[in-house]
Amino acid sequence: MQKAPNKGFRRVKVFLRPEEREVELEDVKDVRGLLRKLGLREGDVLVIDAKSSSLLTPDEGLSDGQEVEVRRVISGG
Amino acid sequence: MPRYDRQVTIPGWDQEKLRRAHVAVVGVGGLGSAVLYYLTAAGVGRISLVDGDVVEESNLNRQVLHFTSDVGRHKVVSALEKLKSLNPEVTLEPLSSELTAENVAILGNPDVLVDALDDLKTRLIVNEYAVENRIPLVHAAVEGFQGLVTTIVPGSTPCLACIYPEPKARATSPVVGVTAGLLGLMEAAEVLKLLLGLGEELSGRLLMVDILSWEFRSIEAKFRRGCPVCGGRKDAESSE
Repeated sequence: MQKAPNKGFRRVKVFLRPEEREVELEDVKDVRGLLRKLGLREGDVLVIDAKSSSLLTPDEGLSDGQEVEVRRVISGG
Repeated sequence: MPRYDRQVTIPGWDQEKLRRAHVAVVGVGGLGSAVLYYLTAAGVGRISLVDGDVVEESNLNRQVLHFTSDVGRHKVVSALEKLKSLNPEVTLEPLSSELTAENVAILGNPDVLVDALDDLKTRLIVNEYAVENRIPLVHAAVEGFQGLVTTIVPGSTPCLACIYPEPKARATSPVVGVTAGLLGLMEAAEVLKLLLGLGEELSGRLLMVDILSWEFRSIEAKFRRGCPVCGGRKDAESSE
């Protein structure tokens, strides 16, 4: 019998820009948790779902295998 | 009149509509120089220019409305001089003041607001004013060879506070002149489209531009639950 997946365990692939670095994080439930693990403030980056090309808000949940881009906020003019 | 001959024949163009329009551009720097130049050339009837800074030599790589001889002068005065000479038919209203939450009402009630600023804190003040007064807001930001542009339509799209929940600390960003110019032109294009009711604006979408790779990416913006400015459009219609 196949073992039921552990719903709390998620592996998320993260592309960091502009550092051009890729990391995999385990056990992150939502965007806020992901940023906490990366040591980033919510206001410092935009988090983008790589597949749908949509922004993710801090309270959005993340699913196993999801790929996200974390892009530093720019504000020059 | 000959000045507008090459644009009035464009299907849907309404020069009289532009002449009656009022646009407020906040920031007369890199983005603002491009926005102001092209809106003035296009014949937008009334344009407010807001900036409290004076021209510094380090501005001259990208702030193309200001010349070497303008160093030390107020940016709005320097810009006004060139824009008046470019198109004397446009009513230009210079406001030499740093925008704050206390004086933001000086923006009045324009048809469109343009965020051509360089710091997130002031951008969020303008955003709040735009949302409160239901004024469309065109936003752009640049750094290096990268930029992004979007249009906030209060009541319809996520606002800037949905996108940037906390103001990032102000820092001096490296900016290449062509990046500010390109993104400023994109802002000007958005303004003209909004005023004329032409095409599809970047409402609810962030267009990210990378000049080095020539990648243009359209990213869908989302309402942020509990957004203190727009209410996250009633928290995204109570999560549908």
